[in-house]
Amino acid sequence: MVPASRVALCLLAACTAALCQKAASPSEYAWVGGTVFDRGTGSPLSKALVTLSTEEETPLDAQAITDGTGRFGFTDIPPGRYQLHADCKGYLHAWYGAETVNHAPGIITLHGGERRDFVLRLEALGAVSGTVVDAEGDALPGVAVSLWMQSFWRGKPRFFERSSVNSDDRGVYRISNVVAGRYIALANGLGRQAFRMQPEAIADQKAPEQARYGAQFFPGTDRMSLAAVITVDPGKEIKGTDFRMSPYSTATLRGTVTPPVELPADARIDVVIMQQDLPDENQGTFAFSVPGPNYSFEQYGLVPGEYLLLTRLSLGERRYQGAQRVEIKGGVDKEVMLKLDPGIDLSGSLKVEGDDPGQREYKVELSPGDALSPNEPRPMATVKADSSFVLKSVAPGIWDIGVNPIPPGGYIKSMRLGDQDVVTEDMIIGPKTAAPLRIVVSTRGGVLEGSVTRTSGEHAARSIVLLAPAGKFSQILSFYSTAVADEAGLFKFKALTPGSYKLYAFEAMESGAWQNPEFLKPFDSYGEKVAITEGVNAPKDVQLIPGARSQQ
Amino acid sequence: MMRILVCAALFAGSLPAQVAQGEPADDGSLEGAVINEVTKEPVRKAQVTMVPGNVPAAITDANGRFAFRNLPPGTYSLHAQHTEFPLIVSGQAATSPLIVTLTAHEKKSDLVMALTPGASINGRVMDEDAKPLPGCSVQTMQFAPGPPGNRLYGTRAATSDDRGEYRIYGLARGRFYVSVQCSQPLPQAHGLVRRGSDADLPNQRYATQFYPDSPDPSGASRVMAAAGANVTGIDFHMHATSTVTVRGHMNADADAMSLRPRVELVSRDPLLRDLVRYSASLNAKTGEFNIPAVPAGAYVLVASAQDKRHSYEASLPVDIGADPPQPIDLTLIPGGEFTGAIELEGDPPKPAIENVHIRLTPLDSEFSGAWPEAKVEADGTFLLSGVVAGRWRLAAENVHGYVKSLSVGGQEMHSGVFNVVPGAGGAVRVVVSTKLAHVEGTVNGMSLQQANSVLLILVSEDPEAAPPRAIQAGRDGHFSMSGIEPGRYRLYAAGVAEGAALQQSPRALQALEGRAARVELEAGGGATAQVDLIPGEDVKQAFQEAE
Repeated sequence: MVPASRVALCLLAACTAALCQKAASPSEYAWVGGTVFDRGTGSPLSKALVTLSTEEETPLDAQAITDGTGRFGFTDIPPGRYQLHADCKGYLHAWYGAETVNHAPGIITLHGGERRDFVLRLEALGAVSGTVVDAEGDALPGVAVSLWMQSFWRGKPRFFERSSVNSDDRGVYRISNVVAGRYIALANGLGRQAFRMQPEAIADQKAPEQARYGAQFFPGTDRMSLAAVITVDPGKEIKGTDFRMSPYSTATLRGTVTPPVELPADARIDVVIMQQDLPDENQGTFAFSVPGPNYSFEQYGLVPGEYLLLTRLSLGERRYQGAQRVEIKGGVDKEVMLKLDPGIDLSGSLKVEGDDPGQREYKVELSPGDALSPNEPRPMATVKADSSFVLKSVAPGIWDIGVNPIPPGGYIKSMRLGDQDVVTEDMIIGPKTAAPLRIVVSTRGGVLEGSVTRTSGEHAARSIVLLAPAGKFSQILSFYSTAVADEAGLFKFKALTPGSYKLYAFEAMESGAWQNPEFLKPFDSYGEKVAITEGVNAPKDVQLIPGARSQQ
Repeated sequence: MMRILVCAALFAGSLPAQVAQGEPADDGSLEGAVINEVTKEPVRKAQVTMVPGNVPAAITDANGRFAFRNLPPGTYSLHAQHTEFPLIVSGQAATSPLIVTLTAHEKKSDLVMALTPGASINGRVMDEDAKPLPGCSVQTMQFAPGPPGNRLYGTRAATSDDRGEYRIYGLARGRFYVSVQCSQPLPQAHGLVRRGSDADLPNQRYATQFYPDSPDPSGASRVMAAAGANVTGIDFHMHATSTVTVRGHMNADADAMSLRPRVELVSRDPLLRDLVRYSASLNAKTGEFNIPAVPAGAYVLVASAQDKRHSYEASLPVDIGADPPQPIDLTLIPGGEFTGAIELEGDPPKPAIENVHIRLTPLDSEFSGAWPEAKVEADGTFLLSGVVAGRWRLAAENVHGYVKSLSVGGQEMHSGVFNVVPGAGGAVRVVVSTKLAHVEGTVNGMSLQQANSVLLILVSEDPEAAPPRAIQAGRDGHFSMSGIEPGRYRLYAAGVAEGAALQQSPRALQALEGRAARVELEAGGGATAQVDLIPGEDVKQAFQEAE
């Protein structure tokens, strides 16, 4: 029998274990209450789920539901440190003490017998709506419309899909629960036949090639660079984001892959055709494998645009890859010859400087830095006792290097491919690359502590501190670090790479905002110069940038 | 347009040569328009296809017009479709194919093809305070026959949006139950509990509802969706009900556990079986399972696990009330093994046993696992393993014959159907006879227009026999069907489009029983039959009555 009073028992048990050794009298508990509001309209929110959590790795949670006036309350809360947060349908999750999602949550310290009242303001989610029609204005049902938010990857702008819906039978679509922000909108009609009026059909004649739809960015452009930025404000619906899809004459792409001589007769070569100028590779990709003896393929119905053709082959451990760009013009068929370059065995060494008590097993892993092989298995090697490793069959392309694990407090001191510094430059592997990859890891990363103060002199609790590389390495993303100051405005960075940096403190910062190369420019004069060496550095204080906005 | 003119001119140029060779001039044409059956307005960009012959599809213009040219004389079947018109309308295709006979040099220009527009059903899902409930799944449902009784199945579905609004579209005309499920549990207030602990936190849930606000189909009313109708105001007012966590322990050996058994609480109401089910999370090491947020009701706790060779099953009726039930003990029972032998009986020469398979088809609709199957060895023996409890029909595949007799454990079974109790096994003996029967005859009441488009449906009088089969009648109304298991049958004749749907609907078949011809077929024998064509209107009516 599961006791009906099980929750009560658990509560008691948790209480006993955690905090109240003595039988607590009512005055030793705190009471926490408050109101949840819509931040934009100021009206109270009913049926919001409010959670009070202890400040622990695996916290204790208590939950309350707001009433018709937006009120909630928690009784019998043992003293301690807590966080308070709320959820409500149609609203962003909100933390007490964090004005927006880009602020760090606050800590509530409760004392026995205390009554505390809090206000949580939730940001309403927005919506984007419109229609998808064809050239004559007739509804196009079932077209996927998606919203993309700009972010940065390897210092370059890149879009990430946030939501997607299909147009209905009236061509109407509506994307709801959109977080306030700046988006571009895409209607993806790729591959879909565009029925153009063709009332006359003559026996024994070939049907005219039917046109197809492509991808269209709002407002009516097939170029991502010309897409309009749609700004969604909290709780607002952006209506009239309409698409009128135009049909394209299509072309057929014929290709032949030159196989490696050692290819067995029954092997097949993978071919991927990726349409370019789309926000990601899932939007317009054809993938198939071609058999011998000719290794030829034919892909019909391609709309005009630039395409990236990838060829891939795995023979046991040996991997081959080829890449080629092709421009397709409407109605003009194209023929290409594709080749496969063998991957190379990249050998190298990994040395650890400093105290490494763990005698751990290190692994070196590569991840694609050119988005050519996003879903491919990643080359990985285990470092042997003599410090050597061999990454088998690394395909040609740009690769980022990862070491796992980095000892606590440690950092990658240097990585060189032959004479090239591949910490600060891209490692480009070609079919003839033969230089060794030498990696040095140090266990003595820099440590920097300090405090953040406001211009008024008071401590800036929960501010976000950014340590950014200065000078010629300012674009090296792996050198950036962030930390959140505590309630007393104190921060601590560990495992830093020695070098010249600038230190900034923000009230709030969008996650990863510093990846935008333009982000720090307006704040340059606020940066506190600091030189980091291995080990503990002298504490450095920094002033909060007043009213700094960190939107990208 | 230019291109077509050029082509036509080229073709015209080659025409005299053909005439000179004494061939008939292929200059017939078929022209017409596609219209919306309800509004009678032209449908533009409809695709019209034509068989036989090598004729490309026509895409109608702004006036709904299409034209097929340079046609030799013959009988053609024309078909129209458009993405905005659903393909099947409750037993009938959106359009029946249009059959047209063209004589030499004939030009027909008055063809009309009507497309039936789809219907939509719209409404809102709201909570007790009339606030919108997003993320609820709304389904249109209809009854469909199936062993052992009728079941309710979903036709189309939509999800309520942030305003609680939903729109189900592309519906074939008909009457639908509309059900809604809001699956997310509703958290309730509680004191401090360690996150991730297995404490039973209080939860509520919105119980499944049928329009208008009924917990089951018996209190529901069906929504009529006429062709092209936009039905609005099909709103739901949801009520939260308290739930409990159901816990228990499953006893199973390591082999069964390694197959990741699925444990579910399924409604005991056969009509809600597909709709109301709550799955358990199972700890494969300890066998402990728990099913959170279960509302009060009558359920069956079902557990199953299977791979290609093995099957395990357990089921237990469970009544859930307001309080959490005692932990439930459930034991997975392995499916039984049946060793068997097959004997082929028939006129010499006896066919050799080659690539013959024995397959069991479940007659209990709750069965959702793989169908047991065994390859028959050259000496006629086979081994069926993993046969779980239930009713099964045995059939032999890849052999031109029928199961004449079946004995299980020395007991004779009827129609190849046998019952398996949990864990049972035994010896099976199958006699397959190659003495199949045939039937031929003619369809009465066929017009020239219907040539090539009449379907004959053969339905066994034995309710547990194999499902109905169908063939198309010839242009002269003659038909011939062979390879039939001996027995008593009914034969129906209907238009191809209606007939295809009729074949799937035992209720409609029953309603039209009086219109069918009766035949009795003996082993190795034959029969002739005259079958009256059932007009399309009558089939439609039978469908409406059957629902």
